[in-house]
Amino acid sequence: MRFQGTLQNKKELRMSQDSSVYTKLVAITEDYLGSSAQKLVDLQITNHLHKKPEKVNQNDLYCLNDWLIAVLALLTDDRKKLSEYSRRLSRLIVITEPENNPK
Amino acid sequence: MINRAYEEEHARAEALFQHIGTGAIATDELGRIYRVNDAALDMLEYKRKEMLGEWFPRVVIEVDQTGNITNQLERPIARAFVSGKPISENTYYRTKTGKIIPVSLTISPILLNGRPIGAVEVFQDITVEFEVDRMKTEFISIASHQLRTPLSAINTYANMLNSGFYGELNKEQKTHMGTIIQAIERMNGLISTLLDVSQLEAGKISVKPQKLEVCGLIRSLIQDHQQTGGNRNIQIKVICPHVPVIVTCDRLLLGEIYSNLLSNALKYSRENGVVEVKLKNLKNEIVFSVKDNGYGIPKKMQRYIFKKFYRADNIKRIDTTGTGLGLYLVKQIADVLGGKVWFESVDKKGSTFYFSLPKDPQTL
Repeated sequence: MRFQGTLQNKKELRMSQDSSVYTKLVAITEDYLGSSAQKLVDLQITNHLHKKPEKVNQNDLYCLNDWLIAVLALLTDDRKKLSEYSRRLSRLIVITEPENNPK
Repeated sequence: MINRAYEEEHARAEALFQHIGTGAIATDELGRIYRVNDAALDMLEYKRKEMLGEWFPRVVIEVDQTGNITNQLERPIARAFVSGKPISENTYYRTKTGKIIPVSLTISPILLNGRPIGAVEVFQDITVEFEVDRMKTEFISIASHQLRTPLSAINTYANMLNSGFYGELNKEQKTHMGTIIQAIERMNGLISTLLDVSQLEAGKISVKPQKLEVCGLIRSLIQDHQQTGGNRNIQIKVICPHVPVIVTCDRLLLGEIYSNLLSNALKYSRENGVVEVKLKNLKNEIVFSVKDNGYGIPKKMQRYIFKKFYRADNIKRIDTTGTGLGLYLVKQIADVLGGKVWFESVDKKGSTFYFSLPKDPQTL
């Protein structure tokens, strides 16, 4: 499934321009976990990466995303929702690459 | 060759899993069950084909004592994925036929190169242990009630004797009466604690919330505990906000928590020590802390400190009169009030115990 032209895509593109990896992570997770999202993201970063939440960077997402998906997988059995969340998180890794990257 | 080694390893793991003696369930990273042993099937009353491939939360249903389903984010499996560490605790499962069984479980995430690829849970039915514990609590409750009545009479007459109601006592008699009265007070305190524990465990404790000013409560408790430190010259430093801090809570239960933490800090402080009592007024909660520079809790014993009748080895050598019920009681009351209790401690340097309480119980 492609995101181009969807509301989600616009939201993520906007986020990529004006916010940090952390903010984007929380915003995406909020769509699935509601108000618990920030607390969960904070705990996952602190526990698994041993750093302050706002210090999370793009490289961290490779490991962190698996932990976030594992928790959502215990809250919903909706495979579609899970793969959508997983896809949005993976997309975040690409979107947040530095702008001066020649790619 | 590699295949053979893999097959052998797999066979060993399978045999271990199947015959471990407790229930065992393994899931993949999406919470799907891919392995379950006979003991787990027996306890949860499912057939193997009903569990394999199923979503863990759908067939392994965690409930509270009354049968209400636990919030999924609070389940041990979710907390294991959040913390990345094994979680062990006692809880209840609802079986396929609707029976509620108490279980003791340990669940651990399975990691590959630091990333989660599933979880494995081992658990056992502890119905018998629960029943024994319930009977023990009931016995303690009855015995405590029966002890209190004669003790009241002893207390009354000892105090009358001591005050000279039946004639003046000489110096030696006064000293012995003082010892008797102190022992009665200790026994009274112990009986009260035992009764509190049995009431809490039986779910019979009633919470009577009222608006109360916490700094005033703390100061009055400190006054009550002035003698707890004995003649060891322990200074109590109080740091409270300058404005009144109002919460809605049961005065007696909150006082019981503060009192226990304060009394421990005073009892286990060293001579000429300082006990710092602090109250932080945050937006939605208040955090009470008591810091001492006493003996501290050795690291390997810290995980047991809120368990019933548990006393750390270093303290057992110093004070032989404790029961190991104080912190257990604090934890139980904290749960009833919707608060949280935790601590930081360094062996031989001291401990700080914290208790946070929501200002308004409705925000729980």
